[in-house]
Amino acid sequence: MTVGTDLPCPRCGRRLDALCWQDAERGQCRACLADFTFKALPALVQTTEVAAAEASVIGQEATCFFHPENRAAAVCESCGRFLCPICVVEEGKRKLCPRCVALTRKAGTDLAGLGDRTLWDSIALTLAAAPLLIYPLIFVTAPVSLGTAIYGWTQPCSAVRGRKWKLVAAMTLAVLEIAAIGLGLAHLIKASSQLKSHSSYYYKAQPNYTPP
Amino acid sequence: MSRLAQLNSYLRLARHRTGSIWLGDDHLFIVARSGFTEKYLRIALKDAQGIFVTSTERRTLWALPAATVACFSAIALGVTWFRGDRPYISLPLLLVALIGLAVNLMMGAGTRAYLLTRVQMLSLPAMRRKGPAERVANLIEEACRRQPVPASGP
Repeated sequence: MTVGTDLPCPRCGRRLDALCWQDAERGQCRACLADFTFKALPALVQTTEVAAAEASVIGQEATCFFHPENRAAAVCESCGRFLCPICVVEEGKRKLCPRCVALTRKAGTDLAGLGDRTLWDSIALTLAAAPLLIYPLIFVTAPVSLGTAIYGWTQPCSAVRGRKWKLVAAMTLAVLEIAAIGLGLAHLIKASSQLKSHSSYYYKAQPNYTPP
Repeated sequence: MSRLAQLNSYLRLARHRTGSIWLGDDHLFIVARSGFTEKYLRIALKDAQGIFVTSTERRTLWALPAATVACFSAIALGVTWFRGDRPYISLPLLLVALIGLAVNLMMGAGTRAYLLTRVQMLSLPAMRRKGPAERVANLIEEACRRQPVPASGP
């Protein structure tokens, strides 16, 4: 018997019956025709009998992972296990299972409260680099990028890429762009004042001249 | 070495711009990246029931433009040599396209991997080619076999 019989197709979600399997590791879904290979892990064999027993009692209802006799009421936002109301632990805005709470509270893991994170460093760097493609954006993106980088400095960064080089690069680029804007404006003001003084000199030199 | 590896003695199994997979002592740490957010998921190894790997057309999709560029640059190279000129553009372009084709072929067929647990089917990021996908699946299997037999209940 194929170990993977009655598993869901990863692509379409339909149950893979025995006809879908060519051997223990390969097959093709009859519904979506997706070819697949399957590597069974030890937990599959260990839980097959338990799952069958639960199915006979509960039918098609989702049950709690820790209490198979209870109906599931929530999903752990860290590991995805189904949980009954007894097992749901609210950590801030998240609902976790007891095991994930214990794991996140374990000293030194530095993974406490991890759910998802906004990558402020990437946002700041993208905003700072956007004027390189479309230069008129510089008037908006440069100050916004600087603000985002300053805000992002105090926020938790990626758990995988902990370094803040993107924030430093974004700040540097944004400051340079703001300086360029300032220099450009100063140059414009200077040029317009020179033009004004030159035209007033011209009017004084020709008192009878009336500008159009 | 990344921060995660430094702090938690994780082993990085795979990495891609869409995410990465890390192997901890008793769990997998999956980082899925979409746009400007990263989502973290931890799956206990004793909950992992299997790994599905399906085939995709990624290798063909990358091979088509590279082969097109290679063909056109080969024609341009032939014309240039026929005229007696030096191929300053077509030859480097042909080399780049051929190297791209070779790398694409060496990376293996396109795949998409899924981790089956008791309650869900998770799409695994960063397992986009057959070779790396098989390697990662084998590493996960080895790690699962090293886990102690789980006790029933919490």
